[in-house]
Amino acid sequence: MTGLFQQPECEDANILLERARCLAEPLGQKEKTGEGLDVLTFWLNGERYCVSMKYVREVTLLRALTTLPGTPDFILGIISIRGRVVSVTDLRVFFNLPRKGLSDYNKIIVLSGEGMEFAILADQVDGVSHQILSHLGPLPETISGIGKDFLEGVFPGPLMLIKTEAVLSHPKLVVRSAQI
Amino acid sequence: MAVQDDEFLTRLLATFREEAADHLQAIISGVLDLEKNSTCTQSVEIEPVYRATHSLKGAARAVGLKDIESVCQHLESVFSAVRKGDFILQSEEFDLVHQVISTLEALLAGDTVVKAGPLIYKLKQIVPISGASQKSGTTSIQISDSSHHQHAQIPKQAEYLSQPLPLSSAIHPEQADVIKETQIKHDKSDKLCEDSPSELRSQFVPSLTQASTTVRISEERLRSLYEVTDDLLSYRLSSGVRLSDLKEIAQIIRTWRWNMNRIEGDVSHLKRQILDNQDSIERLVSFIDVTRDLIGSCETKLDSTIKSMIQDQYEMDSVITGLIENIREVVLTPFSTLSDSYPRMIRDIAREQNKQVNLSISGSDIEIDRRILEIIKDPMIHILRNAVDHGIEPADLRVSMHKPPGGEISIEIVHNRANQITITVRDDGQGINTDAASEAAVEKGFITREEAERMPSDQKALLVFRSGFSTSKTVSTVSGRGLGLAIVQEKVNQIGGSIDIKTIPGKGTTFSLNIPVTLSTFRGLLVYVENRPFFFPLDQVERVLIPDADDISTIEGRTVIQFEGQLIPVVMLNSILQLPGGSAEPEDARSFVLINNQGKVFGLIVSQICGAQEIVVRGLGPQLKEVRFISGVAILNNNTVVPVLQVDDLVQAMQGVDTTVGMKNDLSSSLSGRQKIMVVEDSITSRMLLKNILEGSGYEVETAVDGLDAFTKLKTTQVDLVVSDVDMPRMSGFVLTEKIRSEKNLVDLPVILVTSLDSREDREHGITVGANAYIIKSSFDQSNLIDVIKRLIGAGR
Repeated sequence: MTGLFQQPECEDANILLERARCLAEPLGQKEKTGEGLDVLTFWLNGERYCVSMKYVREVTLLRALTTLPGTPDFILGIISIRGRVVSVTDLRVFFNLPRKGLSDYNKIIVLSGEGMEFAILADQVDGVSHQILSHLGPLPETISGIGKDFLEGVFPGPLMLIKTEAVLSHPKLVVRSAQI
Repeated sequence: MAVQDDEFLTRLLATFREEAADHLQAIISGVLDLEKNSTCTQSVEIEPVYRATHSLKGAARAVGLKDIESVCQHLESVFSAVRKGDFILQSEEFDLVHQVISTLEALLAGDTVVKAGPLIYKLKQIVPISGASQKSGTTSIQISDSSHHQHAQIPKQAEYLSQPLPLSSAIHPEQADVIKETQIKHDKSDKLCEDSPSELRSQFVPSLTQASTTVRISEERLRSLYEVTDDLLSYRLSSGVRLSDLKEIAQIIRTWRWNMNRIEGDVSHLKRQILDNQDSIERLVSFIDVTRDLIGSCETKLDSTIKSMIQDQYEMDSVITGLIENIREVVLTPFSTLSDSYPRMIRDIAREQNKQVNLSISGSDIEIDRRILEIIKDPMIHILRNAVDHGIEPADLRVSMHKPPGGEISIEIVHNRANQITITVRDDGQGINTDAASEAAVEKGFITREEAERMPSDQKALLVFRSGFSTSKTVSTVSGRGLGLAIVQEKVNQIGGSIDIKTIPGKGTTFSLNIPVTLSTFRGLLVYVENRPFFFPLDQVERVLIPDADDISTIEGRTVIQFEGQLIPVVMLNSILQLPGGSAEPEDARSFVLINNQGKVFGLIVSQICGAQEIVVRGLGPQLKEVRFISGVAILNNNTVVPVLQVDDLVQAMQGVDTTVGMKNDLSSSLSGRQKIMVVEDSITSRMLLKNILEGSGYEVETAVDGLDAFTKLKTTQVDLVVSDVDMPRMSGFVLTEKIRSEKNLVDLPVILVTSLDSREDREHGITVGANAYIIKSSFDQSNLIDVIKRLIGAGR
């Protein structure tokens, strides 16, 4: 083993050691900062939101959408993903976000869990990142209304973490319009 | 090793539960038979029950379930005594036996609270001699019933296989094979029993002569298999679409070749001209040559690909069709898997209410898609419960009405057509009091009193299907909440079936359910409304027609058409579905779909009828549990999702709609010729939003997915204004505007650019190419857009 390190010049060995130390550091840091969470970040109305990867089934492009008469406004319609029928929810409507502007992007994120599955519309999807849970701050006091029930907190960024399990299991998001 | 044993035991227990359920079912139906028939044949008829009990005992011992084993042992002793003729079961003992069976069910379900002790004690009281000495040898089994004669040769094997395994704790994997064999059960063995006079077939037939031909597959696996097949079906269709796409490309190349041939002369002319060695022209000409050769070779390749793909398509078609047919047959299950539990259920309800009920079932061997069985499971239970609860009268009342004290309920399953069966549930009870029914409906506000008075009595019976309806004054544990029959009808309609009810006061009630045998053979009528596709369930469509203008008239403010001497109310489908806008269809192109809802005919006006086709109906996903007007969706070959309409909801809505208003508006607007706007936008959400906004303001909207699409459409369609995005594939909004401005007959067409590009240069670029207005997406506002449009071409209506 030692033979390997004796071969190069002393300086080289130092550089290598230094590099090794640099590479080793993040691991140590990670242990210190505690539990993390893999999240999928996306844009809604010019704001950044994220959901836990645990509930993300897939991200895909919205192609052919079929609107359904007799459904509430937050249901955009239904699509078929490889033969499976998935309903698409517009969270902007459900969260009472102002619907200003037209979005150029039409990505959808299929959420699944708690016995429920539907897709949400996103303006843009940034990708998966690792967030440290201890960095999660509380929501600003000014936030109120239905959005508050569905937000876990804010990561620095700001990046709002959605309570995905609450969204998935919320009875108001289930449509039973046929009931009289 | 210990872990493996644990796993093995868990698996073994699961297997045992399945096996035990079969045995228990055999015991239940056998006991019910005994109860029904005369006591003198008990010693013979007890045989299958006795054997099932014995097998259950053995199986329980093998997996170490002591409680079940000991209950079975004592039950077996009782049956053994009956079999020997020492003892005859009377109604008291039957009650005890039923209690024991319930306890066994609870124990099997893993209920640890149930105490078997007192029951064992009672069983011991009946037959004091312990049956534990009963040997499992076969010598004592006597088969004297001729209907069981065919099994006489095999009791030995049966005994061997149902013999308990000697080990209860340390089971070696090698023995798993033996156990597996015991799970293998032969379905056809049921058929052997069909010629026995009893309607209730005993499931326990220890025929193992063809044992290895059937295997058990878990419901879950079968379902996923079925889903995959459904997917396969859509891929088969979409591959056909790809093929036609390829053919289209080949066609484009052929057009190119035609154009190329036209300039071929020019090219060779050019070649001859290159005398003064002009490099650039030479390069140009050689490039044309290379390109022609390249495209030529592409064309050849494309043609051969298409040919082989057509071949593949044919072969795939036949393979997939075969596979789907096979799998469809695999999921067919005899109706008896449902109906086997009915006798006991009826008995229990009847007991509870001190009524006497005889149940007979015929045709339960008819096979149906298990998914359909799953759906009609609850409706069937509901109808049967209703029959006992509301139909059959108490015995003394029956006698006073000169009826036999015991009520009769019969279930009859008949294969009707290729893909339809009819289930008839008939009772000889008091029938539905149609006057009380209409009275209750008036009270609930479903119908007015005048309507009730005019209603014929068979129509009144149908009122029971309304949600929230119940004639029962009190709510009992079994029924009376008034939701039941509405749900029954909904479920039956969901699978494309229909339900009918006939009742004669004092004589009884008959429910007839027409249901399809397989789900996948649903046929739908494809229609378009406002450019949106919908399916009508074909079996509820009476016919389609395009009536003459003279046939349309109004009565009491409602639009009706005259058809075969009948006046049929008609409504625009888009006004029921509340779809925005109303495209300017020429009046004579209006197509009418006549739907038949429980004998009544209604008309719906759609823009276009595209014919019937076979579809796979799917649910709307877990989020959309119930959607008004929509019962499911079908996925068409090009991956578009088409909603399937729920006719009941439509009819209900029609009765509430003031039909003339929608008609008149739409007619007048279509006559006045509304302004037409073309929306060019590659993002589907923005496209839809713009379309909705504009249609909401009374404009007619045509859409295009990019500049090229728009420009092609503009050549054939007359529009008054173009609203276009800038950043699009194939052709941008700038280029589109330029093209419009350079086209002779489009030069004055107003163009509004809607864009996310917000720099001064872009704005200037937009104005330079000739756009009339430039709207920035980030500051987009509906009213702003409408104002600009109004300024350019005036209001929509």
